[in-house]
This record gives sequence, structure tokens and C-alpha cells, in this order.
Amino acid sequence: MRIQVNKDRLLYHLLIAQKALSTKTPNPALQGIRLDVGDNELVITTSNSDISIRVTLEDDALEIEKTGSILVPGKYFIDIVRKLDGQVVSMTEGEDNLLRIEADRSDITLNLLDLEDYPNLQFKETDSPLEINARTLKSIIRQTAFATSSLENRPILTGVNVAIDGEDLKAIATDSYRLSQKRISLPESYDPTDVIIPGRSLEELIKILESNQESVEVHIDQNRVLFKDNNVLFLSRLLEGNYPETDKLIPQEFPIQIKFNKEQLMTAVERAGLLSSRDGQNSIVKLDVRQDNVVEISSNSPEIGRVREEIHPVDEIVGSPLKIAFSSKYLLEALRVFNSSEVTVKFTGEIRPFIITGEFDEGMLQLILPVKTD
Amino acid sequence: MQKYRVIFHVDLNAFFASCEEARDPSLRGRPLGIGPSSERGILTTANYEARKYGVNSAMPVSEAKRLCPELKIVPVDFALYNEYSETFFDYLSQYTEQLEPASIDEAYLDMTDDLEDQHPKTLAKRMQDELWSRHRLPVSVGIGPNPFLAKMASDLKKPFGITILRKRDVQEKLWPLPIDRLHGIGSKTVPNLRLIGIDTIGDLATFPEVEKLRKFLGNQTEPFMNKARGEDDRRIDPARKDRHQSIGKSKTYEGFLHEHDEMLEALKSLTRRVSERLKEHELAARTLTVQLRTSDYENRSRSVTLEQHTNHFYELFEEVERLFEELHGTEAVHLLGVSTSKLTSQSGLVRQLDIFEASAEEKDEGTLERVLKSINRHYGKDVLKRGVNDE
Repeated sequence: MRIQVNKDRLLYHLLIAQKALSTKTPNPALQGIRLDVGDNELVITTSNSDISIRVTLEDDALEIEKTGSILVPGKYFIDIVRKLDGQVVSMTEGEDNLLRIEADRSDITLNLLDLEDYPNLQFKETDSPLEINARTLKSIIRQTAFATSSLENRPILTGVNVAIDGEDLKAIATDSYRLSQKRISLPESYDPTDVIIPGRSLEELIKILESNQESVEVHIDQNRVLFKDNNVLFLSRLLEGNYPETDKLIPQEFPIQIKFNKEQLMTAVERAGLLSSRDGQNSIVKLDVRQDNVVEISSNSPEIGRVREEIHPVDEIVGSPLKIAFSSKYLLEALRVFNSSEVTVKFTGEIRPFIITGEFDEGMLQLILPVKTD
Repeated sequence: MQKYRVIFHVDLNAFFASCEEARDPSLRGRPLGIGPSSERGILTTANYEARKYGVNSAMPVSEAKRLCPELKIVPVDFALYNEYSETFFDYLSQYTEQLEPASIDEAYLDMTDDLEDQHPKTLAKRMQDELWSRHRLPVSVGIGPNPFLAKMASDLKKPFGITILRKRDVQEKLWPLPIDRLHGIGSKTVPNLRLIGIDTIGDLATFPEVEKLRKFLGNQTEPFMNKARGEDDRRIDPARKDRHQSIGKSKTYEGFLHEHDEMLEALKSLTRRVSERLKEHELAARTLTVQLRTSDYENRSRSVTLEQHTNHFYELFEEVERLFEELHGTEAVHLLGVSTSKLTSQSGLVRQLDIFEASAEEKDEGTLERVLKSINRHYGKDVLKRGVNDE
């Protein structure tokens, strides 16, 4: 293998591929980046066994003198390319499994890994992929994946459930303490599909997706999903099992509804969450709907102090007074994904789930379970 | 007329060894030591059979083995002792609230107002019988007008003793005892006291030169002399309610458990007991430990810190199951245990509701528990029990 390539173009593509590079893995070959030089292109492949990425570099930034395939130690290779001076890098595969990297006045020789140890990854495309525009896909992920569980004790809840039926796409994530659901209408109709994609895969995916109107192909296979965004292929395993039925867990009638300015509600809850002795961000905040159309947000930690905040809702409160307590973290994380500047919080009871919707967030619903204080 | 106090001192005999025997009855009646299996280790304690051979606590294992070649040695298992200790205090607490745990295996009870016209000895006998028949825990009970005499009384006869030490018995029963038997006198003080001619408790009680005594006993001179005369006005302090550092339950399975499902069922019933006990004491736990012993006597345990305090069966069992899967391979199991620690009072406890539980469990578990409780409350304790193999 022998090529010359524009350094910035190479680095840009390596950084995309890095998202799937293993740092800790029982298979040392996965710490490598696979480089395949064909007649017209350089293909960069990485995998951490949950996700795999394949990027194709194919433009005038690339000059191919000799084709071939190698496995370079990922971390060292990226660090080297990042630090190189000069515009052009030349890479030559030498005798004894060595790679010689030359740029400007640098001359670096890197020991290669054994290509035979690298798994055979199948980035197989299906006949009828789902097409969705990149920006929509990103916002679906951003609005749901945060609500997945990070605990492995209920593995299925670490994924986002994506169900497609005709033109209807529904994405759901829940860690069982809160739930996020987003529904959109697809421009075309598709066969019914129901899969669970690991939340962590999706969080890596949005880092490499461009936020534009171009469409991304989604190829769903038996146990894998492949996202194709131009020259980037992103492959993730799917979670096996049945996602719990969540529809009937979402209340349908809400006797109490309050419309808030989102920023006001967030800052009040943030302040109330400051004085908390509980670990992490799990501070408990109380929300008290008063008779006089004022909402009181408060928290009390006997050993630290108390916070009391008053909020005037945007509209007249619908329904009767109510007191409810919840983890501030869940409310803040839910509010953060709304595009609307005003949100409606809908309650069913003091120890019943409540939901949040926004006028300019069509098809999205955030649900939070309160805490019970004895 | 001044009302005499009636103080019980209830002392578990050879406690650690008794716990091991209670768990595994095949150990009973044979010399048993608790300690490391290594020859160079030090024995923690021994049962009465072993003591007959001269085996004693704090004795090197090698020496104990020499004195008693057939001595069986089992490892120390504090989780088990804590569990029995709890059983013991729970049992005693039904007689009076004036209960002070003195250590893991002894308690003072002020029965003055709780005798209900029974003779103290009758009551002591009942405690002794029931602790033995229900829990296989041997105790000695000492009865006296104050804690000191009660303690001395329980020491007079072990195991299975019931001894009353009245003020008027002091001269006859206490005074002839060697001075090192006086509770609280340290082994370093004894030679000094002997030097000035104090060999027995009686010698101390009647020692004429108080100032000379003060050199050795310091500000404890009067208290010790009072004790030697059988006087002690210390009150029983039940305030030590924070005695619960852990709540757990374990069980041995003779003939072993072989099936995975059996083990899970067993863990379920242990967890249920732990959850019930936490609730009884109005406590919630943050740390959960699962313990198992394989059929080749290999002990394993694993703990987890929970996201929040809980005493909830479902929340506990979910973690128990997970820990168990990590601990257990395919081997048969001899012992299973579930214990909780980092306990906090249930009041002020915040419980994050769970969307799946809220719908599934609060429906069946909640209703079942409510019905069970209301029936049991109505008819007295435990008319209805769960049909799982609880005990």
C-alpha cells in the first residue's frame, strides 16, 4: 500500500471513525483502524463490537500509488496524524508489517497490527431502506435517547424502541422513572418494523451526522441496523427482546393542566435543586399548585437549607390545587429537549405520572414519575 | 416501702458456636471451634464440648487441635451472628420496652413493671425454653435487684442457668468468689489487689483502708466497693435503638439445592423476610448483600449499593436476583443469605416511583399485602402466611 493524502481530509474522516474505536476491548485487533486502499478510494473501518463505522474517502485529496490493506494501531495513528505539519501525508507499507508516515520534515515508522485478526464486518445494505432526513433523525435521537436507562439490569431499557407502521414512526425511551416519546409522519409508507436500538449507539450516531436536509438511509436487518449517510456507514447491533408495552402506561386524561414559560420553570427548578443533600443531581423538588393561580417550587434539606420559588403560569391553571414531588434531574432533562418556549405540564394525581407537551413540539411527549415521600 | 427492681440479664451461651450449631445441627454435641482453618491462626471461640478439653477462645488453632484432635473448626460468619443476635433481641423485646442490649449476645431487661404477676423465675424459664425450642439459642438468665447482680447471677450458672441473686444472698454467694470474677475488674488490677490481701469479692467489700484501694482503683473505688456489696443503681437504658446495623436472613439447605429455580425461590422467600423485617423496624437499606456457600463449602458474597434506600420487596429482589446470577455458576448450594445494611429510618424516605411497577406490582402485590395484613391484624399474628417455603 502506498498513498498520498491531504492531512486535514484524512484527519476529518479518522475522527468520524474514531467514534467506534475501542479503547478497552478483549479483542486487541479492535484497537486498530483498518485501512483499505482500492483503485479509487481509501476506506477507513473501526468497530467496538457494539457499533462499527466505515468511512470512504474518495476525492482529489487522495493519490493512490499502490493498493492494499493494513491495520494500524488506532490511538497512535490518530495522534500522529493530528500532530503532523504540512498539507500532505504520504503513507507506505513497508517490509515486516511496518507503516512509514512522511509529512513535511517528519518521518515516522509505526508497527502495524495483524490484519488477519480483524473481524469480518458486514456493512450489508438492504433492498428497501427507510429514508429520513438527517435533521429529523438527529432531533428524534436527541429527544429520546437521553431517557434510556444506563443500568444493565434491564438491558432492554438501555435502548430506544423504534416502531414503524405505514407512515407512522414512533420512538420511545424509558428508564422506568421517566419516558420520552416522539412520533413523526414519514413522507412514504413502509412495512411494519419494530426494533430496539442501543441508546449509546444513537448518541454516537448523532455526533457524526450532519445537520442538513439530506436524507439518511436506514437499513434494518435481523439483528443490526445500518445508517448510511453519504460516504459514512454506521452499523449498530440491535437489542434482542420485546420492548414493554408503554401505550397504556401513559395517562390519557389530565384534570390539572398548567402552561409555563419553559425558561422560568427550568431556572426555578435548577435553583430549588441546588440545596440538596442527595447524591448526584437527584434532588427532590416539590411543586405546589396554589389556590391563587401561583405555582410554588420548593425544596428542603434540613441540614443545608430551603428554597422557595414562585412562578406565575402563562395561562389560568386548569383544575384543582395539587402538591407533587419529583427528581429535578428528570424534569430538567425533559424540558431541555423542547423547542417550544412554552410548555404544558399535565397532572393526573400526586403519585401518578405527569406529562409535558409543547405547542411547537408536535408528536413529542415527556412523562415523569413523581417520588413518594412518606 | 421501697419497691425492689427486677432486672434480668440474659446471656447467650457460647454465642458464635451456638449460632453455628443452630444453623447446622450436625455440629451439635461435638467439640467445635470458630476461627481460621490455618494451624497458625487464633481461635475466636469454642463451644462447651470443646471447652471440656481445655480449648479456649484466643488460643492458637494448633494448640487447640493438640488438646482436642477431633475439634471441628468452622470459619467466623458475622452475618449469621448478627442475624441471630437480632432474632434474640426481637424475641426479648416482646416482654418489655426497658431492654438494653449490652453487646451482640447479652441484654439487660428491667422487668419491674412488666412481670404481670408472674414469678420472675417462671418468666425466665419461659424465655429460656422458647429461645431454645424456637431458635436453638441457649441462654442463661440472671435475676437481681440491679444490673450488676443480674449480670453476676447469669455468670454463676452456664449454660442454661437461671439464677436469682438477691441482696441478702450477696454475702453467701458472691463474697466467696475470687476477685477476678467481679465484673469490670481488669486482669491487670487483680495482682495488685491480691498484693494488698484482696483475694475474694468479700475481701473487697469489707476492705477497711479505702485510701489504699484508691491507688489501684482510682475514681472507681466506690463503685467497685458498692458492687462488691451488691449495690448498683444504674438504670436500664433502652435508648440504644440504633442497634440495627444490618438486617439479614440466611438459611442452610441440608441435602443442598441443585436446581436454579429452587435457589431463586429460596432467595425470594429470604428477601421477603428481610423486606418484612425492615418494615417492622421502620427501616430502609442502601446496601444489599447476597451470600452463598457451595456444596464444597466455598463461601461467596457480593454486594451492591442501591440507587436509593428501600425496604421494598420488589426493588430488593431485583438486585438479589442480579447479584445471585453473578455469584452462582452451576454448582449445588448449601447456604443462601440476603442481608441489608446502611440502614436509615423509613420516615422522610423518598421513593422514586417506577412506571412498570406502579402498574403491575401496586396492583397485585399491594393488594395482597394489604389483605394479608388486615386479616392478620384482625385475628392476631400470622393467621395467614404466604404459601412459599418460608421456614
